[in-house]
Parts: sequence; structure tokens; C-alpha cells
Amino acid sequence: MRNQSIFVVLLAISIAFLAPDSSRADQREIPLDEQLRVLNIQPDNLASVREAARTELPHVRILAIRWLAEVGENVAPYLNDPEVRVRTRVAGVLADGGDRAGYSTLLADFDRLVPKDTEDSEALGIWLEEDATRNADLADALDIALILTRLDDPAGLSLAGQAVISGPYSAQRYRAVWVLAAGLHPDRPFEEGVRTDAQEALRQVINRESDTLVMKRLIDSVVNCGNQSAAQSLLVAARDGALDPEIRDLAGRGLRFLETEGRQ
Amino acid sequence: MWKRLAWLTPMILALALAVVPSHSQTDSFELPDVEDDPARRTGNWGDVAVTAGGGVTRSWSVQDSRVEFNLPWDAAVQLRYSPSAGVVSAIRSVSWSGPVNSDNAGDHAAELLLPGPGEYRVVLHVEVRGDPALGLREASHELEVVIQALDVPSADVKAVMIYPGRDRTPPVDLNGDHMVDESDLLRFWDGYGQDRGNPGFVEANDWTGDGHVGIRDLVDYMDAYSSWNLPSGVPSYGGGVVYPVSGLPRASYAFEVPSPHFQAKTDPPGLESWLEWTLDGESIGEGRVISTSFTEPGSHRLEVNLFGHPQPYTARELTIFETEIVSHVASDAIEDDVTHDFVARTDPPGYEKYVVWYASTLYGKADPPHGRGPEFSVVFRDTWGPGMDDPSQPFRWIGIQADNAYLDVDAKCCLATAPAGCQNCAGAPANTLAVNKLPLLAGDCSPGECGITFATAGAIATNITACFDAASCTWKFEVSASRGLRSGHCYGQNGITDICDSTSTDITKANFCSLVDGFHNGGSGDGGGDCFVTGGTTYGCSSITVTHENTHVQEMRDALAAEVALLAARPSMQPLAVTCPDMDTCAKAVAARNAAISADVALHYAAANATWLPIPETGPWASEFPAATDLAKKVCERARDEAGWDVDGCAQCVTFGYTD
Repeated sequence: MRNQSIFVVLLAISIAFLAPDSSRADQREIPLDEQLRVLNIQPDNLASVREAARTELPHVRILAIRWLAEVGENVAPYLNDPEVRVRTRVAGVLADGGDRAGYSTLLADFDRLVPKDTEDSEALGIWLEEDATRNADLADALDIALILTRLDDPAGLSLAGQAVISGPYSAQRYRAVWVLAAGLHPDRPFEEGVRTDAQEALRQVINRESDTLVMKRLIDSVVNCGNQSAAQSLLVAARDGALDPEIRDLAGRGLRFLETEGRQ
Repeated sequence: MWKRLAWLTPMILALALAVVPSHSQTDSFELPDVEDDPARRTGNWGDVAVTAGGGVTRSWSVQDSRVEFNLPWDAAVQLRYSPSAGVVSAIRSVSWSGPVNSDNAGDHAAELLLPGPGEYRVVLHVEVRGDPALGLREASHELEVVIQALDVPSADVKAVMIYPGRDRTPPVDLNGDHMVDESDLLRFWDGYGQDRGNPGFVEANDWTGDGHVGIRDLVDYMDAYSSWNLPSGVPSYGGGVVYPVSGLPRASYAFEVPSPHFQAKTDPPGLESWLEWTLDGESIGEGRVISTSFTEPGSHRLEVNLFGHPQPYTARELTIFETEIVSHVASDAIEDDVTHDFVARTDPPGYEKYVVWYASTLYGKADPPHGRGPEFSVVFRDTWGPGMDDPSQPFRWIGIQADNAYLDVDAKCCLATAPAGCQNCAGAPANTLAVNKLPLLAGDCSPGECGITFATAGAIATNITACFDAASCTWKFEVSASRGLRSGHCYGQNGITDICDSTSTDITKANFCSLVDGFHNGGSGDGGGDCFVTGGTTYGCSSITVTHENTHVQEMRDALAAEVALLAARPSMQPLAVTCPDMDTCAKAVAARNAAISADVALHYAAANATWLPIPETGPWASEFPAATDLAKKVCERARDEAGWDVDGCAQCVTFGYTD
């Protein structure tokens, strides 16, 4: 998608999927109604879409619920979906529209998925080692933490700070990076120490993370975090200290981008 | 079906033996003992290659002693002897005799000189020196080449494409009844061993087109036959039914992935072995019937050449389409005695009515077993039976196929202990979630777009397999899944002027500075770069755009690689121990687990899709901008060297350091 005029179209059809606070103008997703038709669900027939929102297949339910939200239907009733990832998505769709109806569901799921008493990353690591399936729970909890952060609740930031260190899967660590980057935004009503801790956690990632995908997502989310001073500080750290030369180069480009474009 | 094929085995062996010279035949050649003969010590005397009309070159082993082929009497034919490595150093002489203009200067070639129609004989005579030090005696060998010169000039021989085209059924269906079954096999055997001209010769069986139905035809035919007609005792997805693959004669011909057979003949007949097939200009085989494989959907041009020349009316436009089953995912429980409705989509779309469906089961029956079109309804009955390895263990094996798409609905074993020899795990299961990059289709690009990459909307093709881990007494699961990602540039679709070379004639004295600004400004991130609008025209460099789009593809693959690792941690993928007090319990346990796994796979695809790096066109990710800036500098360089172009008047060129 290589023309600025198209960005407007893309923005119109793009709906973030547990996405960080970045401008995702380039989201490549086929329009929802087309995706529904492929599944033999007629988007114009809202009764059939509502039926699909209760089908056995969770990814189909997500598509149907998103479409219902897009056409203006209240999707809060779907917060009782049996699958946590669907509930999280419903809460995210609601949050995108400024609706906090999913907040209590998110909190309850977050508390159920991960323990409250992991004091540090080492304790989190031990907890994960006890049961392999907890890694999936951690990833799901980080998806929730991101929306909580966007709803101005820093409850998930501590877990994210531990997960960037102890999460054995890159898919956990980049989710954690997004949560931390979302916590940097200056408009969030967090105590300054929360933002400082998030920034420090990201700095630790820069110093020790060797996974290119995680680091690319860190650069991306930092560039788009909305906090100019934190972004510059972290990008300088990445440019000078990231383990991978490609990431150092990328961080340098991110810095130049911030300086020349003033996107923040 | 294995039973039906079993009786063929001794016949095939007998035929194979029949073409191997017997000891008595070998003795009659009066060749030296093996240890004294350099040619026979190395195993062969070499090959003779025959090239007719500058087209196909056919080769025969000199060991054959006698070869025969047809030609138009006026065809320009070159014969060339290529000695084997063991013979070449010992050659004393090579000579051709008969109606040839022989050149023995070193390349052992000869030009055929035929005064008119008739039968001619050319003899290749090869002599090799002895070597007393090695105990080798001198030896000689002859190859007789028999040419049937037909009473027709080359210019009057025509190639005729039969399939796709005139015939509605592929060449494996020898009797044309739209079924591949024993009657076709028997028809093949009817003509086996016959030469053209004999009463029993069947043209349709001569796949090589060399005038003899022999072992080469048998191998080719059996390969095609077996792909259509699978043995009973396992799910016979092929089912034996042949449908015409296209209802669009004369316009284009559509084939499901992966390996259609094509057929042509010559008029007059008898020259089919000289047919040369090309696909998109590349040679893919020779003879009357050939096959080629496709792995991705797309459009192709199939042609037949004869004696080095394209033939009129034989070109075919082929569309290779890929089928997805979109109505079900692998997990969907297939219950007995319930009608299941399946729906398919094709890529490119519009070929759904040609989709061929098969339903099969090891035990019981699928009703109907096959169908055609975008939808297929089937009922399975009595699909549980005794285990293949341990009859005391219940076993079920069913499947649905729509062209290339297989729906995994198998429940091969679902017990706490594996039957003997049943799918023991070999190492840890490895999951794969793959992205298949596909070309853009017409309509993928909206006006103004220069390039695009997006995940297709179709279902995810998921295959779940289970193996038994004896150590833990559990079943372990392995997933392989894929979905399409269409990616490419939109230059053709959107009429964008493609400039990747500074020497392009699209760069003029009037517009060069605008192009420099356009290409370079992308480097500073203001939205230009590889594609931009100036003076009402959109310009760009398609290869740089493709580089950018390929970055998106790689990002998607990276995202999936990260998600697939996490998939292994999902509860659905954990080892399963299940006892089977009855069939319902067993079937439901497996179906529930397959459903959960498929749901997780779909959600991980969705997560990867969402976490796909945005790669803002103007952000730090736009790594292609340096290439665009380099192109801008080359345009400046050209402007500096062109007489009368005002490079000094182009501020960006001056900034780059280019002045008049």
C-alpha cells in the first residue's frame, strides 16, 4: 500500500487486534464483511451474524462480534463468551469505542490466568516451569494487560516487566513489550514511577534481548508510544547498545524519523 | 483395489523381463568376453542422438543394435554418435553408412540424405582398439537405424492438441467413459507390445509416440493410472472418477493443482514422438502424452512444437487453480448417519463448479462417494471397524478431498494404548503454521495503490496428526497449517509508469527533476520514495515496491513462527490419554480435541495477522528508501550527461553534488 491517499481507506477498514498504541495505517486485513462471506455468513443478515457470534469456532465468533460492533450493535453481551481470547477481544472492541464495559471481565480473567504473588521475574519463571500450559495463559494475560493499560489501569505493567525477562517465548515477550510501551504514554493517569518502571523494563530488554522480532516490535512500539522523551532515550539506548546490528540501525532510523518528522 | 492390481504384478514383471536380452541372445552377438571388451566393461557403447528439423532431439542406446522411427521424407535430420566414457579413449574408428553425408572429423555426426519416401537403413559402425597391457581385445559394434520416410513433406505435418481441447477426458481414461478403472487397464494391455501398423496397435496407448507400446509407455501409464485409481483398503481419494476439468473450451482451460496430463497427435499420424511441449516458453517434455506439475495457482501458456516450429491452433491458455474447503475446519466432527455439507472456494475464484470432491472411508460407506461443484453433501455410515494391526481395537479412517484440499477428519486411533506398530512417535512433534505467498489477482489493487500484501480470506488449511508416545502412554499431536498471502506490485493494474533504470525513455528533460524529488523524498520519509505522483502521472520502481512488499511477507512469516511456538503450550496440544469404553466416547474425545486444536490454530493465525508489523510507509521501517534515493542520484547523473538538461536548475541534484 504505497500511496498516502490510500492510508485513509486503510484506516477506515483497519480495526486493531490487540494492537499496541501505534498508528496502524498499514494493517493488511481483508474487510470484515468479505471475511464473513467466505465463511458463508451473510453480513447483511444480522440474525445470521448473531448466530455466528455464538458458533463453536472462536475465530468465527470474533469476526462476527467485530462486525456487529462495526454496524453499531452493542457487543457487551458477548463478554460472557466461554473462551478468554474472545472475551478479551470483545473488551478490546468495546475499549476502542471508549466503552469500559469489559473492564471487570478483563480484571477477572487477568487474575485467574496469572498469580498475583509473583514478586519478580525469577518467581514468574518458576511458576511457568511448573506447567507448560501456563505459557499460553501468560500470553493471554498479556493481551489483557494491554487493554487494561489502554483503559488506564496499570495492573498488567508489573507482569509485563517480569515477562520480558522470564517469558520463554518471543510471542510472550513482544506482547509484554507492547504493554510496557503503552504504559509510557504521557496522557495516562499513572504515577510517574509507573512510567519510569516501564521505561526501565524496556531498557533492560534492549540490553539483553536477542530475538530480532521482539526488538523490531520494541522499536516500533517505542517510536509510536506518544512519549517523545522516553522514545528518544530508549532509541538512543537501542542504537548504541542493542545486540543486533540490524536493530541498532533500525533504532537510528527511528531516531531520525522522530527528529525529522516530529510525529510525537 | 490392491487385489485387482496384484494379478498385474507378475504380468508387469514378465513384460519387464521380456525386454531384457536373454543369455542366448547375448551369445549370438559374438562379442568378446566381458573382461576383454572395454565397451562392455564400462557397460555400454554410448548413445545416438537424432535431431529432426532443429526441434526435438531423441536418443537411443547403441546397445539397442536396431532402432526405428518415422520422419517426413524431406526433414533435415542430424545423427550424432556420443561414445560412452569407457569407449571414447579406445575408439579406432566411427563410420556411418547408408544415405548420409558423413563427417567423421571428430564429432561422429552425419546428415541424413533421403531422396524420397520409403524405408532406409543407416548403419553406425564403431571399432575400438585393444590394449594388451590391460588384456583388452579390439572390438566393434554396429547400430542399424531404420528410417521410415513418410510420403509427406515436413511442411504438411500438423500437430493437433487433443487434451486440453478436443477431448473432454484426460488421456489416462483410455476408453473415454469418464472413469479410470480396470477397463482402461485392460485396454492398455490389449495393445501392449504392438508396433504401429500391426492390427493390435492402439494409438492411445502409445504415450511416447514412438510407434511402439512398450515398457516406457507402461511406466508412464501406470504412474498416471495409480494416481487416479488407488487401492481399496485405504481411503481411495481418487475414486477412479474422471471429470472434464474445464467447461470453457476455446477460451481457457482450467486445472486443479497439481499434475494434469496433456495429449496431442500429429496429422498424419506416426510422428508423435517428435512433438515438443513448452509451458510459458520452457520445454517440459516430448511425445504424445506428457505431464507437468504445478504448485501454485496461476496462468500459463501451453504449446506444442513440431520440428522446431510452433504449430498453429495448438496453444492453450491454462489456469491453474487451488481449492480450499471453507465450510469446515479439520476439527469438525464427522458423525455417522448425518448429512454433512461441504463448501469449496477456488483461487483464483470462479472455478468452483469444476471442483471434484471425494469422500472415502476404510469401513462402511460414504454416500455419495464423489461429486462436483462448489458444494458437496455426504453421509458416512458404519465407519468404525477393527484396527488394522490389532482387530480388537476400534479403528476409523475417513476423509474428504476437494481437488488439492484435504480435510483431516481421520480418527485413526483413539485408545490409551496403541495397537502394535501403530504410529509410534519418532521424536517430538513439530508444528508448522505456514504462509504461502501468492501472486496478486486482477482487482486486488485499488486505484492509487502501488503495491499490496494481504492475507487471503479463505479458510486455514489445517492438518492434525497424532502419534502414540509409548513412554507416556499418551497421544501427541502435530499440526501443519497454511494460508495464503497475496503480495505484489500494482503497476500493471493501475497503469503506473515503471522506472527502475535511469536510462528509461520515460525520463525526460522536462520531468527528470520531478522524478528525482519523487524518488528521493521517500528517503526523507514524506511519502514519496518508490512510488509517487507528479504532473498527474504516477511513477515508481516496481522492483523496489516488490522489495517493500516482500518485507511484509517476511514479517508475517516471522510473526507466525513466533505464534507457532506458543501453540505448543496450549492445553489443546498437550498429550491426550483416553480410554474407549465405547465408540461414542472415543469419537467424541478425538473430535473435541481436534476442534480445540483447530480453534487454537485459527486464533494464532489471527494473532499473527494482528501483530504483523505495520511497516509504516514513511517510518523507520521503510528500508527500501535508500534504493529509491540511489535511483534519484542516477537520474541526476544522467541529467548531467544529457546535453541541454538543466541539472543546475534541479536543487536536489545539486544537493547530491551533480552540476553541469
